[in-house]
Amino acid sequence: MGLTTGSSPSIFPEVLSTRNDRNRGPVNNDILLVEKAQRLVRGIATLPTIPAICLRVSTLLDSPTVDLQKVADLILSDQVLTARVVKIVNSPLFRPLHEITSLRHALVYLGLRRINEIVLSCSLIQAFEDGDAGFDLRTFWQHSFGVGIIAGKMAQLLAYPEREKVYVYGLLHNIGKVFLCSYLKPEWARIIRLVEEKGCTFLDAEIKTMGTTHCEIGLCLARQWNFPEEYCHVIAYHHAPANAPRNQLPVALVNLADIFYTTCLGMDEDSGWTSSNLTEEPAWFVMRKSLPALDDFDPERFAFELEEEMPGIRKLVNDLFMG
Amino acid sequence: MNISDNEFCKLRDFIYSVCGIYFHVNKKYFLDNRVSRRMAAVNCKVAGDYIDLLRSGTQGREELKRLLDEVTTNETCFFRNAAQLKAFELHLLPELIKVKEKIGCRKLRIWSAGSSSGEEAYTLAMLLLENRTTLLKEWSFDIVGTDINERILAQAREGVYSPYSVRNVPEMYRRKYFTKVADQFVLAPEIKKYVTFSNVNLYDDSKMLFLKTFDFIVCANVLIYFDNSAKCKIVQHFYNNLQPYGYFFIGQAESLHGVNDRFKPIHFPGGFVYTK
Repeated sequence: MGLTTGSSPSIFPEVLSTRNDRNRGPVNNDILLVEKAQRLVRGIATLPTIPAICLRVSTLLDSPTVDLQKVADLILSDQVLTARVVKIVNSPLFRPLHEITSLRHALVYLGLRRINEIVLSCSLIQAFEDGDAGFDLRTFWQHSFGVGIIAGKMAQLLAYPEREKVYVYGLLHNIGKVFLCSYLKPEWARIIRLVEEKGCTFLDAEIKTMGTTHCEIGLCLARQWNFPEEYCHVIAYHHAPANAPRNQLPVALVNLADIFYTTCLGMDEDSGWTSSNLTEEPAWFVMRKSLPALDDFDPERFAFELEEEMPGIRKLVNDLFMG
Repeated sequence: MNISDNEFCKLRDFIYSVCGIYFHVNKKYFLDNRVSRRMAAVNCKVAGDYIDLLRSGTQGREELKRLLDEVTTNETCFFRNAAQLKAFELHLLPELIKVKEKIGCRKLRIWSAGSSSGEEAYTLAMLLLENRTTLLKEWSFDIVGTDINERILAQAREGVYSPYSVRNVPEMYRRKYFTKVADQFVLAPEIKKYVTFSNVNLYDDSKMLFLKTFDFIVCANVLIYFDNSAKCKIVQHFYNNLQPYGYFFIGQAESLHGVNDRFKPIHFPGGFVYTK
């Protein structure tokens, strides 16, 4: 995964090109949106931080000779993290045959590639726990885990090789929103009011209220955390995958997973009733170019399967918040 | 008998590939129960052997029909598919009204194909009637219910229902549109007059050609009784008989994937509808 602890990594050019997504008309001043977001993020005195332990686990897992015991010892030094990792492993999403009670057993069961994604999931939740989001936070994580899991399932069905990464992308895509409802409460309340009372789209309400959106805010936060460039892409372009200058495919997967989540399972706090024809989504065209398996993809069946996953996602998020 | 998770998945995949019906995992107990009955009937002891039997040529097809009869005996009822009805009344109908207003056509045509004893057609009539003074002011509408079974069509025309059929009807609708006579519920004539029932075999091209210009077509849990080529033909008729801006609904657990690639699924919370 390669989270870095050093200075800022290379980041794609500041200018986010013209968007023409399903939620918003073309906006031509994206550089202004990023600058505005930067000011908002810098204005917060105590920004949320990714726990150091997550970065150290990531570094350990990146080394060619991984010592699982060392990884276990590191996680065990944080009781909350340990409890959450064990809870995730025992959730319906992983379905172990017997309950797993020890961390070491959990790590062996998950395998190296998934440890990273699980530890990052837990760390992100931890990073925002000191914020002031209250109940909204649980809804967000439910959405984020949902999108992560759906994106991962789609990646698997469509034979996209980096399923674990796609899960993390899904989990991260809305960190701008999590930040917004945790640290910019008055703006958040105004946005929600505009959506509810004036029927604005969420993105339009964000622009009207703050002059920027959660995409740019998330991008600035990801940079602050020194997240790899590909993470920044997904966060910045998850509403407009066809405009991403690079890595369009994973961005499109997350975009489609987001649409699936909202329209098939949905009723998110900010979306109300939505419907979509997936095959007309820009993300669909992006994916068709490079994922031939998409021709055999059955969106109806996929929607049925997602309904089955939903209780597991809800339970997982509830369990994680119970400490 | 308990079929294993693995056998359940195999059976579900098979049924989905043949009939387009998806058994949600919370229906496992139900499927298990019905499969057990059929296994006892054909003297089959192992679930795996029964699945093999279903997959085997002519004998398999016959047995599959019998199994489908067992798993689809869930008779229809009023207000059956809440997500679909909500989408219809609150979102798709207003959208369609807007389109038709523009072209100056204030007439709505709805077809309940495989209408059985009429619950679905009458449910739609009630929803439309409730919008008579608002959304549908100065509009006319007619609903056509078709089925192949004369006995059940007569029942539909009569409009007398058991408490079980009306169990999902919201209280307000029940009070307004039904009269309780002994232990039966008699539907109000003001609803009945909006629905015309007739005998149509969906496989009969000559009849299908005359059912034209519908704004909504609903064909729930009917296509499963046809083999794939018949299904393709019937769905193509629906496609041709639907207005360009119309909507086509099938059953809650059904899918048209692999049957017709011209209809496009539009997903919404709790379901999907097809458009051209």
